Parts: sequence; structure tokens; C-alpha cells
Amino acid sequence: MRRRPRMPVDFVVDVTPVMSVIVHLIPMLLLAVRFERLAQHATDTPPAELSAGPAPAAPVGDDARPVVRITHQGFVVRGAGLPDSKLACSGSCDPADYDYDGLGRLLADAKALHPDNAAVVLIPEADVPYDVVARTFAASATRAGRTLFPEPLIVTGAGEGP
Amino acid sequence: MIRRRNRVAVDSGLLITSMMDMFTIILLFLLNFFDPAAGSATDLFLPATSAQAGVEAGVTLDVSPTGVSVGGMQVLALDAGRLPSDAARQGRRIDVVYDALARAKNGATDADAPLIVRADRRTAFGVLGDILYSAGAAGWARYRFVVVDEAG
Repeated sequence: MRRRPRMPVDFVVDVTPVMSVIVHLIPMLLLAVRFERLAQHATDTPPAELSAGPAPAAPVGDDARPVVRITHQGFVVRGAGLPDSKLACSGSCDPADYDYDGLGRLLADAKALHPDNAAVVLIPEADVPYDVVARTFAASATRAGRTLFPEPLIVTGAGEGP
Repeated sequence: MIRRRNRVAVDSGLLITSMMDMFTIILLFLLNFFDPAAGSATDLFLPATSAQAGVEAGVTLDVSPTGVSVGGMQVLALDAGRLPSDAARQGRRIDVVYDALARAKNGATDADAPLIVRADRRTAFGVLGDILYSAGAAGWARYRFVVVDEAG
């Protein structure tokens, strides 16, 4: 009986559909992806509330905790043995115009007076953008690699004040 | 007489192995950065600061100029970042936000889980303050404010 000679079969994978899927996926992902790394500011203290009214005095009395009031004109710092200080923002008082460096210097002085305290009281006014508050978190948490006050106590309900 | 070779048809297949390799690597690279949970609000721009790297897992509270979302579900629409005047409230507490956060708190497997707050950097703190007040009333005590890491 005559047998057909067995011919080697070249098994070729057709990758065209796979290529098509990938070519469609890449632009979709390029539109959706954001190349950024996320971080967080942590606080384990729920926000406190001020009574309504402008320019309240330092609340939540604890003399070791510096109090930073964030206004639309800059920072007002008091408490923790510091002299009352106003740090005016420059220019049009955009979020980048606030004096975070000056705030860090003041808080470093407060930290030297109260090294065991890790809390800072932040009182943002209602019209201050959240961007300023977030940058204040960072400025009060560390300075030049040194830990200052990484536990912010946020106080809400501040109106507009001097 | 010149002997001519029989012309043999050459099957010149397109060699796309290298291209496949490149596309696969690009795809894996993009998939590494793609986070479907992070992209729930395309109009939400986080502030950029230096902070503790990494974000904990937990219930997310998104505050964008167009709305407030809890766990990816919008609960309150905002008007250019402002609270609507007709939103039902009890003092500073916003009822719909309070209800959604209370449900999330009751449904959380970990009683000490933090609330992950992702707020747009342009949000006025007065608006965020009322939302945080509602969160506090719902029982949330620990907060994680998500930012874009400047160092990253």
C-alpha cells in the first residue's frame, strides 16, 4: 500500500487579532492613566468645630499645641510659647504664595519648646482653598527632614476674621 | 543555453515578533499605572504636597467641583464646588452625605478603618468642612487626606 510521505507542518500562529486588541488598548490606557504617585496626610482626630463668629481665640486649649489660623491673607500663628505672628502671603495670595517656609520655621521653634508634642491645631477659614490646607499639612509635619507636628487637628466652622 | 532556475514563490511572512514584544511591554507598563478606582472623577485634581507615601485602603470620600461621592457613588451634586442651597441639612450636617457615610460606616468590616478623603484642590474649605462635619457625625474618626506626592 502506498503511503503518503509525511510532510512537516509549519505551525504558524496568527497574531493579527492579538495585535489588533493591543493596538486598541494602548491608546485607551494612555487616555485614562495618570502618571502620579499618591500619598496621604493622616489624622486620627476627628475635626473639631468652632462656634460661629469671626476671629475666635485659640480653641481646644492645650498650651503645648501651636495654633495656625489659615486666612485668605496668610497665616496667623499663636500658642505653644510662640509670640503671636502673622505671615502674610505674597502677590495675589494664590495657594503657592503662602509663606510655608516661614510657618515651618515658627513651628520648628515651637517643636524645640515642646518636643514631645506632635499635634498642631489648624483653623482654615471658609473661603481658603483646600490646596492651601493640604500644603499646610505638609509644612507642619516635617521641615528639612525633621519631624515637627504630624498630627493635625482640624477645626472647622471658622468665619472670616482679621 | 542558459539554464534558468525555476522561480520559486517565496512566502515572506511579516516578522512582527519584535513589535509584539514591544507592544506587550508597553501594555503591561500602562496597566501598572491604571487604577480604575482612582479615576472615578475625571475632574478631580488632588493637591500636590510632600507626604507619607502610600494610601491606606478604606471607604473613599471624593469631593470634586461637580459632586460628592462616597465609595464611588455620587450622593450630592455640587454647583461649581458650592453646596446646593436646597440640600437638606440639620445645622452643618448635610443629610444625604451623612446617610451615605453612616451606611458605609455600618457596612465597614473594620470598625477602625479610616475615611479616605480625596478632595479637589480648588474646593473651598467651608464646603469641605461641612462634609467633614457630616462624616464626624456619622461616626468617622480617622481620616486620610490623599494628595499627589511631590517627590514622586
